[in-house]
Amino acid sequence: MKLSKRSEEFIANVRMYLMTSGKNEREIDEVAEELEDHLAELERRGESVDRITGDSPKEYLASLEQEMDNDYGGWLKYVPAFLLSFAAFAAMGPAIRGMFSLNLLQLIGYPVVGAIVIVLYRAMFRKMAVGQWSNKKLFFAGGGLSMLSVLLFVGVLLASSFIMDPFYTAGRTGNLVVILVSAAAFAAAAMMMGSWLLITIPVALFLPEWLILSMPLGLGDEAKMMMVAIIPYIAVALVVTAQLFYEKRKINHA
Amino acid sequence: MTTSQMLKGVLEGCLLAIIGRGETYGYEMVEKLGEYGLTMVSEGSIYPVLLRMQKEGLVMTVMRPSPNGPKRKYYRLTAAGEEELEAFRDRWNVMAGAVGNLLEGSGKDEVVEEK
Repeated sequence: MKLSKRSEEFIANVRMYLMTSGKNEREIDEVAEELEDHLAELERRGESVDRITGDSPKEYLASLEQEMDNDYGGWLKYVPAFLLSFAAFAAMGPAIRGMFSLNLLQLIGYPVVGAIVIVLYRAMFRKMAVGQWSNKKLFFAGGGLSMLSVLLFVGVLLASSFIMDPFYTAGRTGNLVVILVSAAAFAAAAMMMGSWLLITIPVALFLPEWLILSMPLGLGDEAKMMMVAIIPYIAVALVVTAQLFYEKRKINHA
Repeated sequence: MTTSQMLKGVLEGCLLAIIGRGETYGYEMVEKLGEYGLTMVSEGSIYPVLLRMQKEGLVMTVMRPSPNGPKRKYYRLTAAGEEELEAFRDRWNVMAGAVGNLLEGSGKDEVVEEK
């Protein structure tokens, strides 16, 4: 029996909420299957998901969270993929611009920004799971957050290069090597996570920049810099929101 | 305090009693509770409790195909579950008697005289 759209969304939200609280995947599957069965019975009698959660979906999710085991080990397997893609994000942009270098402030700043971004995304996914978000809200939150994270990274890059001198500056070959290694790191991380996002986001972020900088567009340097400053972020926001819509569609059509 | 709120505190005991009457699954438990007049505002609240009971070894579960979809989780009492049900029955009888006495007002006079 096929569940209604609202019920399917509820199940997806339960999964998302419990996953972001670091719960055991097998337990999440078991609970989700029981709830699906319960919803199927309810819908056959013309009732809705409200019978399950009562007045407050938020309280209901919290009560599930409380009774379930934490399984942070399940999250540990994502750490290598995260480190790889994180380093590749930080390295590829400057290398494309032919000015890859490293300084102390970046070595500290990037991990800090990375941690902030993770906390923000986790908070967004949890909020999304508790409240039933509209597509519009999803667009602004997802797009806004991905823009913000890119801006934070660029902020560290710019601020650190103004404040201190690098301890390593790459030459022509060095930059090329960094680009190739970063691309390989993205591909490896994408395979580990089983997610196209780690291919599509870097492509959206770096391909326009590389094209703009390397093509003879007959534009002045200033115009090129303007385009480089704007287009990649729009492209990333589009990719992220497209992915979110795709995920929602997949849930609705499952 | 609503019936639903009061039920929360004794939900585990009630579920033990329902499961004790024979193998059953989530939705059916809610239905059976309802037949006894025990209705819940949020039916989903049985699942966190069932999870805990499973971890405490009070119930064992088995997955079987259902008419709805791929799988359904059936619950059965373990020996520990039977024991816990007996213990709950004793505690409940004491509690119900005491609250009953309190509400009827019997025993109130003696307490005053003792002062």
